[in-house]
Amino acid sequence: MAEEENIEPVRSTPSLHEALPLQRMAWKIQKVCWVVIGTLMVLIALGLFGNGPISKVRETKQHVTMEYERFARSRSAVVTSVYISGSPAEGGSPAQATIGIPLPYLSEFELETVVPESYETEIGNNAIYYRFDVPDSAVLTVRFFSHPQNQGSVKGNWTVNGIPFPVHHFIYP
Amino acid sequence: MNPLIRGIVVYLFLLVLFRILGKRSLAQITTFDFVLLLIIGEVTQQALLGEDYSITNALILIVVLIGTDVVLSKLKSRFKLLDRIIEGVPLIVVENGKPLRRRMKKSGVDESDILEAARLRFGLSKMEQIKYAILERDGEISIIPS
Repeated sequence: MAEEENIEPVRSTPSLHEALPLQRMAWKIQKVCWVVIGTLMVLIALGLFGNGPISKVRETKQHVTMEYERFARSRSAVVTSVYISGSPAEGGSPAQATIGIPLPYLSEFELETVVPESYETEIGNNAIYYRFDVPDSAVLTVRFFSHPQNQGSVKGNWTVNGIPFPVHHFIYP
Repeated sequence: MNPLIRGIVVYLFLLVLFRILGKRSLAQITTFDFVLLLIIGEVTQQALLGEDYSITNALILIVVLIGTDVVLSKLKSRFKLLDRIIEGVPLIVVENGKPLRRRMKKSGVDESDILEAARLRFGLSKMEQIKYAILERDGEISIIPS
């Protein structure tokens, strides 16, 4: 039997309303809430609300790897990283990388900065394209620092040199 | 987010959280508890204001918080059950000098807390001198001497 049911009855009470059934229910709810809080703390550590292993998404296709946060919080900093391995282009000219971000996706964020800066930016096909030179036999790391402006689910299809990378965030209020 | 929703959400969240913590949690406030409360206040302020530090936003939030409190007070005085749910109910923890151990354990009260309250209020030194010790809704222990 639950501990709450075993509490001692009082024979003669001063004039106060103990409301024991309510008290028992409160203790039970309290116990459940402590479990919920404990579980939440574990999930927070794992990244349910961002910045943790279950939040980080890392996807590699061909010579490109993309890393982003699945869960983020409104107006907090979100970093999306793209790693591009250098492969010499034909004719000995430096290889190039074009990263495309759909405009509807981007409208959900305030893009603060792109590191390194692209040498060219172009808008077309409902997307913004950033172009970078990729050093030979090296890895180019491009980081996009942004702040989500809204809440809820945000989806977009990034492209890196034409390779699609579907990105899906859930933004908490 | 709309300041009205923000204010109500933060108010209700804190209300539920402090109710879960239990009656005794804030009745015996240590120096560290005090510091913790200050930190909670600081975090809450950021959550309430967001990036809007305008005087209008501050005034809106003050009105929302006080308004929510007034509405809840009115509801509590109208619906007694709601009052008991939100504020809790008093609980007898000592009867005729006999500590009611299971009740004390469930509510986080120990014998020394009761004897301390008895000493402070009535100069009593023994459990047998206490007719009733009652854990009140605000977490304080009131003593009725034998």
